[in-house]
Amino acid sequence: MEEINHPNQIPYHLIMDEMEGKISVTDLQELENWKAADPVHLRSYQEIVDIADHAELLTAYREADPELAWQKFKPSIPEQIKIVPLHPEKKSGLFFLKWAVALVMVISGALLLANQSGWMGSQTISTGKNERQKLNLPDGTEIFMNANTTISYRKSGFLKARNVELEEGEAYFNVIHDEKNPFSIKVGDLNVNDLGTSFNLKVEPKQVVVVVNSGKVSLEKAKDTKTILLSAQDRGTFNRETKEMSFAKNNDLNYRAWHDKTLHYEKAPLAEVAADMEELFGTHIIFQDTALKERTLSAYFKDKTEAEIMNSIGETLRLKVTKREGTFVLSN
Amino acid sequence: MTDQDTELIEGICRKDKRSFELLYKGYYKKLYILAFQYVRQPEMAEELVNDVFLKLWNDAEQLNIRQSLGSYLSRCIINTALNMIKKENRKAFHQEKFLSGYEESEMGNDEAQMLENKLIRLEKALESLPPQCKKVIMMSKFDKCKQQEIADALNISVKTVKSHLTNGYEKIRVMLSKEQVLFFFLFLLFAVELRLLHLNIVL
Repeated sequence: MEEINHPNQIPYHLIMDEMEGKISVTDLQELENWKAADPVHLRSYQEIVDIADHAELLTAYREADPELAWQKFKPSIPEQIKIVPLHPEKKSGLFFLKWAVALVMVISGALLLANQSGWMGSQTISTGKNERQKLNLPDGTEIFMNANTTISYRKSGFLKARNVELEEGEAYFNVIHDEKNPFSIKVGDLNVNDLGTSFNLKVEPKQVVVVVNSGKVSLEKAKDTKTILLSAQDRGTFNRETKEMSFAKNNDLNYRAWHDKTLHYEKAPLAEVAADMEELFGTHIIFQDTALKERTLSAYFKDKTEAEIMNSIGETLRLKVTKREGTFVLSN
Repeated sequence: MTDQDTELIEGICRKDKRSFELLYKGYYKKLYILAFQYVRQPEMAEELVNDVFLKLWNDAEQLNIRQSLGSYLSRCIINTALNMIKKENRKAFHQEKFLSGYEESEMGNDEAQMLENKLIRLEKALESLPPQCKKVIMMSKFDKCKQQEIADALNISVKTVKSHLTNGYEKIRVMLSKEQVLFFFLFLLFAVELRLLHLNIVL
């Protein structure tokens, strides 16, 4: 077999420095260039990284002691008396299930009663860091909550006064229209009044942003008569420091990507795509050559995973996509 | 399953602790290292292996193992490890998506055995290196020493440390990749043979 790689061709000194985590930026660039130059290089690099990783595993492997582990494990083995069921087809699990069903019914019955009598008062719903949730309000309005979002409303009498408070985060609203009974969202000093529409509402550190998908929305400041009327595809902002309101045409196609899992680009620079990926998936993208950031992408992704999108970008723009420790590297 | 494994599983079904002990000790090391590969923490890896064994002890009768016991246990370890990582992972949900992709692929491989074989081959390759070269690599990986620390401890220059690392890694890499080619051919032969056997039965 022909030897493809001579040892002096592999930049071991760079790889060793990288492993130790003390590689300089220019060296890293050199290493990335070498890796990108030839698939054979990338394979050799992967082999070396694997060897280093397996050497670490080997330490753990040598230290593992089955005898000792067994001695520690033995006391936790349950002493069992074998019960032979009289009716083998009946599983004891079903018995437990019956009780579980009964318990669930009692609890949900109690909750239903509590709800009707209205003593549950104000409801606060929060989503955690990695969580998204759909909220159905009594009037049929749907609220899709992004991560780290808190919404509260009074359940009792909600149908008479449709008031919701967005305390933090981002949500997409699909409001059922009722002329006699407007739907109002309070965000600090700002009131967002819906006139029957769907829109995205986001609380950012310095401003509140409303992007209307359909219908009409009005923005009004508390203790002020000034209002702004937004139509479909308008973007309204409320500066939380100066309390100024403003509006413009929305040119961000992906303002609700987190909700409809759709990314749409028309000649968008890759830097913008990278920022969206970071926000949506937490993806970190490194451009091997900064000129790549200026390359433009026209694409439409629906319900795609992070990896699928990255691969598709690579194919469309004929770039090389490599993934390492959760970071994607784009190179020519 | 091998005859011995079948016998041990039967023993476990009868709640025979001796069979359980034999099985535990026979599989512990490779399952532990497979778990460790995912969770990277000794205590967590040990706990994970014990969880899988406890499940085996409790549910042995309901088991329906079609392939080998090794691939079944490997699958259990990997799934439990992924669940554990998911729970521990404070990072965004996209991680979950990635991990679930792994989970769905139902590979029937005895991952634990494959990993163990790799480590044993690596150990052999390490043993065949010149003493000083081996020492440098051991210090860098087993004791996690920095290049500078190795140089100080062995009273040599960083440059020499680097050249030992380079030679060592390159030798191991070449050794392992040659073996891999051999293994690949053996595997192909094996697969072809199986295929023929299978065809015979069908015909």
